[in-house]
Amino acid sequence: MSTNGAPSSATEVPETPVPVFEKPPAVIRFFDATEEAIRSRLAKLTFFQRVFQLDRDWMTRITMLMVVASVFWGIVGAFDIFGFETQVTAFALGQPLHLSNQEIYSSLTLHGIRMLFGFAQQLEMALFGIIFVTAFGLVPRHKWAYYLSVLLVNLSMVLMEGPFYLFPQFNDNYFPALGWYFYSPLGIRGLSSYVASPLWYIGWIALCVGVIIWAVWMVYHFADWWRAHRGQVRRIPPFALFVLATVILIPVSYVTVLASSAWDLANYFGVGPVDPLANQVLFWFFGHGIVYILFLIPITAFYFLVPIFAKRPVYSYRAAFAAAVVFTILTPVLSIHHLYLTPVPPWSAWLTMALTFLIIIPSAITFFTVWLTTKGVKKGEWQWNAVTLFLLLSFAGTMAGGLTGPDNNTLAFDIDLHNTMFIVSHFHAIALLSIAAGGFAVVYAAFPLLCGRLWYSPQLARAHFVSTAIGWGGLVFFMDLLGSDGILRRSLIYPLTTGVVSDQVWLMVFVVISLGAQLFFVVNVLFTLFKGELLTVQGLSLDEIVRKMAQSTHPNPTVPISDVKFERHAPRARRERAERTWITVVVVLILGVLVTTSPLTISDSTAIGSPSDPPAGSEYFNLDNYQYYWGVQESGPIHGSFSNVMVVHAGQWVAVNATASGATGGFYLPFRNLPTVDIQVIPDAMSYWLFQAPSVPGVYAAPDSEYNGPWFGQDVAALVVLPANGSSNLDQYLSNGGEGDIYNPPVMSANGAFLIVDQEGLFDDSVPGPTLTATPGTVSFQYYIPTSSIGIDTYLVNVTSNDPNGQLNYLAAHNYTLPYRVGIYSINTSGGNLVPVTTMPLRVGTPMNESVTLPAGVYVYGLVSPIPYVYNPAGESTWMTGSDTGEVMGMWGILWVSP
Amino acid sequence: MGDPVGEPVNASTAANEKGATPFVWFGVAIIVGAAYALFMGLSYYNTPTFTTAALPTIAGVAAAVVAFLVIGAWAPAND
Repeated sequence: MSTNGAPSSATEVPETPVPVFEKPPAVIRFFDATEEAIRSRLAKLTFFQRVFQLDRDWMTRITMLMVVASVFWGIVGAFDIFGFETQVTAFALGQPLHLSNQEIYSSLTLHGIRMLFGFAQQLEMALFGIIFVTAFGLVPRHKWAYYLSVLLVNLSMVLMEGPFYLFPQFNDNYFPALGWYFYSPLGIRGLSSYVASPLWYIGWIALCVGVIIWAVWMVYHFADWWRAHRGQVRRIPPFALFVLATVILIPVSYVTVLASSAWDLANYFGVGPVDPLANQVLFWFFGHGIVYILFLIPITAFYFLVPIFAKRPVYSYRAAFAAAVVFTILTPVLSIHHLYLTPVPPWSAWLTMALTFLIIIPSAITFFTVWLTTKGVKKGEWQWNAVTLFLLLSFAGTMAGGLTGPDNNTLAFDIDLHNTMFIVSHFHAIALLSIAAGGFAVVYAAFPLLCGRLWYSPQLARAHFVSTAIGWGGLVFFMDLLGSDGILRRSLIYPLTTGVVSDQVWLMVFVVISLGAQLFFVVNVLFTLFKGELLTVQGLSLDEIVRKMAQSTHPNPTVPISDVKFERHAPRARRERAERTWITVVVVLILGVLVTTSPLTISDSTAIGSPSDPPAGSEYFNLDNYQYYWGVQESGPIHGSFSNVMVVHAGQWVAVNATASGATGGFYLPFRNLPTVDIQVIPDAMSYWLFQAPSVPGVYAAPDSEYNGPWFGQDVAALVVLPANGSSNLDQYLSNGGEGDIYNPPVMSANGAFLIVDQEGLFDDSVPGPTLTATPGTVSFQYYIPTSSIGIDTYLVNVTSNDPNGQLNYLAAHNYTLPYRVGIYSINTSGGNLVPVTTMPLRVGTPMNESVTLPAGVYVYGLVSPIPYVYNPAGESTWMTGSDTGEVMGMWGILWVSP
Repeated sequence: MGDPVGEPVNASTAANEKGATPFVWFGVAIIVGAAYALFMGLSYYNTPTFTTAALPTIAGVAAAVVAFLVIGAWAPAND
């Protein structure tokens, strides 16, 4: 019996599983022939038949189709992120953008969707399906159910893109600018200013149904096999336990997103109750589950492949079994850790945190067990081919990504991390370095079985591994550096400090390396399909077949592929004692961390979900997050009504009551020298927070931390901290780095300033615009909106038409003057709004001069009211295709006049 | 590229080669990955809530990694 249950020449190991593979399925039988026989069959095939394996059994054919489809979606998804990152980098470098905001964020959404579901999920289904059938010797039946599943999964990818037009102008990439997921009520007609096509929700439903059909097909075949072998089987192979865990978790997890999608679709058509928070909780039962469903790719790869290459059974079967069971039980119940900063009950936040810590246990068991499986293997008995190298990368990647999970899971720490690039780094460490690396290990181990040929080039395989490891490692690292600065995820608009720009450029470099690295793989696949050495498996066990296929990725193989005699020397009791010791330590550490972090978790969650009792003299902020600006109502020592401006005295306590009108938003003050403020604000719910304003007067930027549509980059407020008494300049603010808030606008002298509006409608690529400083007296500076900055993507000229010169024609017809006024406004802190000091019409193409005598004080300059905006290219926006309206305020800043 | 593969090799010669075993290499992978994860967490060392909000978790992870390596080294081999 082999290490995975297949017959072999090794000495029998009592605890390894049984008679799987006693009846090889068609996928194996096909190669159980002489090379001449196989060659004569292949000679009759055309190119198309060769690629899609049309001479093979239906299971191989559909698997090959799924592999081809997943690679297709992977390539398209890679193209998506290339498009997104080029635009972000272009913005960072002050270069023109070639895509609209809607197209840019659609690219990001579709990147996530296509990569997670079209590529990774479909590839997992393909590989798990064929491995399952092969390892268990199943005769696959009900092929139309399988075909229907694959059809629905791929159809969903098309539907989620929404309708696309060839006429009157090509448009394929505007409607699903929703983040990689939907975040109720973002995208829902009548509830959100950004409206997705209903095809988006229908696509999600199709995806759910397709994947659930696949899972039911797998369970059905396993049950059939189990009935036939009841009494003969003592143990199911360890890797199969995790395949089973996957097929159990899929329906359990997908049914929740099926429910939330159906709910959203009903809301889209005005039917049913609306409860954004409940809907989000429902979605995140899936949102967490899907990560673990995909994470089971590398886990299964470890349990399947490491014993094969170590030529010995897994270290402890019972430990592996326990890990599979705990994974399956805990995965579906951990949703709310994605919603820590929303007003959920504190007990539920704490319980989720505790359960999330507990899910470390099956991972801890797995990595200990897999690692120990290799203990005792000599160097010369182990081959570092592409399969084992990618396993090694996946091992390290899971550590890098997985061990940052506890950071996110600690609610009090999560306030610093939530919605920043840290999360993107953590996610990509898992998605790329762990999941995709494990996936590549399986692909390198299994693809020859599909195409009937050994890998063509070990050098290409090695080049693929090295360049991929470098690309993915660098990509994750620079994402993390951006996150450490507090940079938001899904953001086109970054604060353009030297460090941030440098990190973004390096990120782009590693994105290019990562994408380029996959060319080695694609070229190798193509050469393998047509020129690879023919695969024959006569007389080989399953393990030997896998080793033979993997060996073709090694330039100078020295390790024989044959099974070897294996005899146990270390008794099970000793091995399990080590496992128990390790798990005991893990449990103790988890309990220690949980006890230590619980008080802060409860207090922070309570502070978000219910109003605190602020000290006397506090300022009250009643915030409403619109798409795309903050409405501010203040009461307390300062009272007034503002847009995007929040005014407070130095050191004053601030009680925040916040909600959203439209999509979910977030109030975020990314301080580093003071505690970070970050709360999620949700329609129909109230979020709270109590914090002390900086003691140093200045202008502190407060971006919307939750993506709420394609203009959320402009959705930045400013906390204007006035001196507690008298006036103050910004010297101390500058010397302490604005309390470490990376989004703070740059500071420059007002007199002589020449502020240029960019393509995104911002002064000097900054929102708020630069903070201008001056001494009391005459203050003179200029605004300038270049004609070249005006296009269909600028919110300032709200003209959308087929005519590419529509905006310029509008300007010419209106004497290059827009129906808005810019100016300088004083902040009335004793009731009221901004008081105009001087205003003028907003002109394009001509510098606008400000020159006014001002006393000491703090002023707001520029366009201080949100501009109504409708994006409707070529008149294609309808309720059926999607639409985007909103109010955008990006061309403004603070003028600080002090002695 | 495309060289023949799968030729038989001498098993006893292969097994006697010197150098780091896969157990060591996977251990190195653990150390590298874990060091990176700890670096990510520790990069928030200068935030005012670090000691109370982040340090307990990071210390727990660090202790777990050390325990992982120590117990793994102490555990009997898989043979």
